[in-house]
Amino acid sequence: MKRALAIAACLVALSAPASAQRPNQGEDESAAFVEEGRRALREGELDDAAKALDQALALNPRRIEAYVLRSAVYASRKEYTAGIALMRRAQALAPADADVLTALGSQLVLAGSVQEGVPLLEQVVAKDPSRYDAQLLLGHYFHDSGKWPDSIAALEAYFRNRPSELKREDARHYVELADAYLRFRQPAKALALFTTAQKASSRGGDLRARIGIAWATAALDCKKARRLLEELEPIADTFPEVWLVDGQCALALGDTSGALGLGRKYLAKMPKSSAAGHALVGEAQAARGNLTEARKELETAASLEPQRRRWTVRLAVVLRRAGLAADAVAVLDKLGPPANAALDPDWWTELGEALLGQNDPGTVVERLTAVAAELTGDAPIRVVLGAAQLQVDKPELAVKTLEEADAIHTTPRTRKLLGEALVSVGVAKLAAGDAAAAEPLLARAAEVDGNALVWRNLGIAQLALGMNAVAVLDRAAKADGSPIVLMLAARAHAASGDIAGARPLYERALAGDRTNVEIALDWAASEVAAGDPAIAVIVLEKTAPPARSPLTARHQQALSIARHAAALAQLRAGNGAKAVELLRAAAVPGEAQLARKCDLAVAAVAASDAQAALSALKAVQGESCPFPAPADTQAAPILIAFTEGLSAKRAGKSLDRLTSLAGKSTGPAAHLLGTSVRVVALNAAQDAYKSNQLAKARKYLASARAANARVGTDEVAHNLAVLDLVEGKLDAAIGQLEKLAPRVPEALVNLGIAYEKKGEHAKALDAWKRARKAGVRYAPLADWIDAKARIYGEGEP
Amino acid sequence: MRALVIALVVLASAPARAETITVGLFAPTAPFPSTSARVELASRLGDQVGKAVGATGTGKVFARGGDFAAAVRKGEVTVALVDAAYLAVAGGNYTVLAASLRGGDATHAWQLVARGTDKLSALEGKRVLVPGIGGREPELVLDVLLGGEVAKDYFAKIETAPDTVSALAALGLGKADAVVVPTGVELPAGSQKVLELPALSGPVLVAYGAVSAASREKIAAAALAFRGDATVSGFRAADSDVVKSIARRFVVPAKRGPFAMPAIRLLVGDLVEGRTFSIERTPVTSFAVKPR
Repeated sequence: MKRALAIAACLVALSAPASAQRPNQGEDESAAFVEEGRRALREGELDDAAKALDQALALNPRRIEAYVLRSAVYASRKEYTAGIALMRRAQALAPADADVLTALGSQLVLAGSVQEGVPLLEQVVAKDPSRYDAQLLLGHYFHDSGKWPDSIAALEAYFRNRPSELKREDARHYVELADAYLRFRQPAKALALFTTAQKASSRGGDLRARIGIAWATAALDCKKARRLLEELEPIADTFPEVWLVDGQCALALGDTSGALGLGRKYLAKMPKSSAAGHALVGEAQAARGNLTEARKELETAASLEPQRRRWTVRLAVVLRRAGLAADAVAVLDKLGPPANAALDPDWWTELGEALLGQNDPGTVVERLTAVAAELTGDAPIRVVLGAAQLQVDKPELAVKTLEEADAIHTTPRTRKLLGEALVSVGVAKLAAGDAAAAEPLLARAAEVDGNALVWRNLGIAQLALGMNAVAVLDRAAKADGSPIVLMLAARAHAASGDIAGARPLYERALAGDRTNVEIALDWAASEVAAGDPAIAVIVLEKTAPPARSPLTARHQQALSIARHAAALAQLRAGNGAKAVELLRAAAVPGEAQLARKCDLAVAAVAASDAQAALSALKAVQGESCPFPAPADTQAAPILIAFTEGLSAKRAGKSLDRLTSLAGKSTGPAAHLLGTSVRVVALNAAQDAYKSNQLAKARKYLASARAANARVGTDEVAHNLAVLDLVEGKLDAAIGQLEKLAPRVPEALVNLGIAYEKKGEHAKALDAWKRARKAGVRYAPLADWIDAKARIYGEGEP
Repeated sequence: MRALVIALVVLASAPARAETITVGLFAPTAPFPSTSARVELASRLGDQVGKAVGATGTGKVFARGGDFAAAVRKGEVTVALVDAAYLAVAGGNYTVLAASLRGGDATHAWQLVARGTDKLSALEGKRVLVPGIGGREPELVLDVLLGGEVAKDYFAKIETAPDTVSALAALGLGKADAVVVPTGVELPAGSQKVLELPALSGPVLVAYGAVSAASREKIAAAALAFRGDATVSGFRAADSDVVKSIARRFVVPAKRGPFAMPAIRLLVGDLVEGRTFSIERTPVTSFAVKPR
C-alpha cells in the first residue's frame, strides 16, 4: 500500500507540469475538472478526485492527462484492473505517449503483470532516462527480482531526476537502493545510504534502515557489527535474520561456537524457511572441522532453496576445503553458471578455486578469462584467475589480472599473488638482461608484498643498473640471512663506496658457508676495487675451492690478481720485500707473466735486493713492460745500471752508464733516469761519508745535485749541510738544517749535533727529541737523548 | 826400625793435604758498611766456593787494585768478586761466572751527590770523590757516567776514595764538594742528589785462567746458591757482556749524524702508478631467484 501510494504520488507529480503543455487541451470545462481532480488527488481525497476526473473524461474523452490522473486514483485504491482498462483506452488514443506508457506499465506491474508492464517501462526509460516515475517502478521491480545492478541503475536514475516535491518520499526508496547496494557487494555505499535513510525517516528511525545499517556494517567490519546486532537482539524474535547475520559475523571472527549457536537458534525459530540457517550451521561446522556435518547442512540448505545459488556455492566451498575439489566442481557444474555472470560471480570464483584445487589451472584460465572481463568490478574472480595464470606460467597476464583485482579490493592473498607474479616477470627480465624493465616491476612487488625474495631481486636489479641498492638489500639480509643474500648486501655496500659496511656482511656470509668460493670471489673483487687488495688475498687464501670445482680456475686467477694488486700497494707503501714475496706467490700456470715479471723486477729494486733485482731486470730487458712509454722498454736498462750503482765499488761506472742513456730517454723514462742518477750519487756520497772521505762525498753530492730528478733535492741539500757540519761550518749547517727539518726529519739529528758543537745543549736535546718524535731511526739517538736529558733535561744544569 | 815402619804407616794413613782456593774481594763500589762486613762476606764466599770444588776456601779482601792485580798475577787469587768497572779498566784473562745482587738487582744507577746545592752548574770547578776502581776514575765519571756531556775540566779535581762508604763519609765531613757513588746508600746529612746517572753492573764473580771449566761450573752453581748480606745478597748468572757494556762507555765517540736518502719507492713508484686491477665477479643477475 505504501509503495502504491508512493507511486500514485509520483504520478500526480508527473501530471502537474504536463497539463499546460499538451496541444489537445483547450480551455474547455474539462480542464477545470482535471485541475480539481489533481488537487483532490494531491490532498488524498480519492473520491473527489475520481469524481472530478470522471467528469473531465466525460466532457473530453481525448484528454490524456485526465486518464493518467484517474489511473493514479485506481492505483491508490489498488484497483489495478480498472486502471489498466482505463490506460489501455488512453493508449489507443496516444500509443507513444510516455505518460500513458508509464501509467499503463505501472498499473500492469502493480497488478503483477510484470511480463507486460516492465517492457513498457523499459521502453519509456530507454527513450527518456529522466522518466523518474518509470525508473522508480523499474527500480523496485528489479529489487524484488534480485536484479541488483538493474535496480541500482534505475533507482539512481530516479534520484537524479525526481522533482523536489517528491523528496519526502526519499527515505523509503533509499532503503531499497541501499539494500541493492548491499546485495551487490557495495556495503560501504549501502551503509552510507541506510544511514541517510534512517536520518531522513520521518519517524526518526526506520527499522529497515536500522537493520540495514547493521547488515552493511557486518559486511564491512564484523567486530563493529556485532555490537549493533546485539542492540537488535530485542527484535530478533521478530527478525530472526539478526541471529543469522550475527552468526555469520561470529563465523567471520572465528567464534565458531557462537556461529553454531546462533545458526541453531535461527533454525529453531525459522524451521520452514531455514536454508540460510542450515547454511550458517554448515559453515560453522566446516570451520570446526566437522566436514561431514557441514556438507549435510549445506546440502539441506541447497535442497530447501534450490533457486538460491548461494547455498550450492557455499557447499562447493566446504567440499573444496575438505579436499574434495572434484566434488565441488561437480556440484557447481550441476548448478550450472548463472545466466548473467554478474548475478552470481561467486559461482565463477568458486569454480575457479575448485579447479585450482584439482590442480587444473589451465581450465580456470580457459573458463574464467572471458567471464572476468565481463565482471568488471569483481576482485575475487580476478584473484583466482591470476593465481591460475601464474600456475600456467603466464605471469605477465597474472600481473595484469591481479593489478585489476588489487585496484578493486586489496587483500593479503591478492597482494601475495601479485607480488609473486611481478617477481616472476621481473626475474625473467633480469635473466634476459633487461634490468631496466625488471626494476620497476620488482619495486612494485616490494610495494604490494615486500619480502626477502622480492627485496633480493629488486636489489639485484638495482645493482645491475648501477643504482644504490644498500637499503633494499640490507632489508633482504635482515629478513633472510642466507650467505648469498648477505653477499649481495655486502656488494651493494661496496658498490656504494662503503667497504667498511660491506666487510661484516661478507664475514657473516662466509661464516655461514665457509667453502663458498663465490662469496670469497665477490669479497675479493670488492676489496680490490676499493683499493685494499691485501684483504682480498687473505679472503681468497682462506677459502679454497673443493677439488674439481668449476670455480677452481677463477679462484686461482683471482688470487693471482689480488696478490699482484697487493704487491703494487706494498710497493707504493715502500715495502719492496713484501711486494716481491706477493709477486712471486702470484705466479700461476698459464698466466700472462710479463706484467708480473716486470713488476717483480721493480719490487726487487725497491727491496734493495740487488741480486734478485738484476736477475729479474735482465729477464725482462728488451720486453715491453706495462710501464708508461717509453719507460716500458727503457726502465729495465736504467734500473740495471741503478742497481749496480748502489754498490760502492761500481757507483762511478754506473753513473757513467746512466749518463750515456740520457740521450735516449724521454718522458717517464727520463724522470726515472734522472732519479736513478741522483740516488746512485747520493748512495755513493753516503758510502764516502761513512768512510770519512769527505771530499769524495762532496763530489758525489755535486753529481746528485746536477741530476735532473724530481725527488731527492732536499736530501742532496741536507747531506751537503751535513758535510758543512762535519767541516765545522756550524752556522751554515744549522741554517740549512732548520730549513730542511720539516721535510727531512734526519736533519733534526744533525741539527742536534750542530747545536751541541756550539754548546747549546738544550737546543740539541730539543732537536733530537723532535727527531725521535718524527720517527727517525738512528741507533745512537736514544742514548744521546738519555745522556743529554740527564744533565740538561730540566733546563739549566 | 819398628818405629820407622810405624811412622811410615802413620804418614800413609793420614788424610791427603787439602787444596786451598782463595777468593779475592776487590769491590770498592759495593757499599759495605764496614771493613769487617767486607771480610765476613769474603770469608763466607770463600768457604762456599771451596766446598763447591772440594777444596779449602778462604776469602781475602783487597783495598787497592794494584794489590789485587798482583795477587791474581801470582796465582794467589783464582776466583774473585770484583767490581765490573775495575774489570772494564784492567782487563785480564778471566771468565764472568755470576753478577752479585743488591736489593734483588744486579745493576744500580749511580748518582752525583753534593752538599749545599742540587745544581750541576754549582759544582763547576769543584772537587769530586769517586770510589777507586783501580784506575781511570775521571773517565768513569766524565765518560761512562756523564756520557761526555761535560768538559774534561768541568770539575777541578776527580779524586778516588777507598770505597763508596769512605767517599760518602768524606762528603759528610766536608772533605769533598761532591761524590759519585751508586744509589741505594744512605746519604750524609746536608747532602743531596744532584743527578741520577746511568746504571752499571756491580761486583761480579770471576774465575781467572787457572780454573778449569768443570770447576767454573761448580763455582757458578755454588754462587747462585749463596746467601750473603745486604750488600751482596746473592748472585745471578751473567757473562762478559756486563763488563763489556761498561768498557764501551769509557770511549765517547764523536757524534756523526746520518745522511738522508730518498726512498727507492720514489724512484720506481711512477712505474706502477695508475695501474688498476679487477677480479671478475659472477653477474649479479645470476643470483635472481623466482618464487617457488
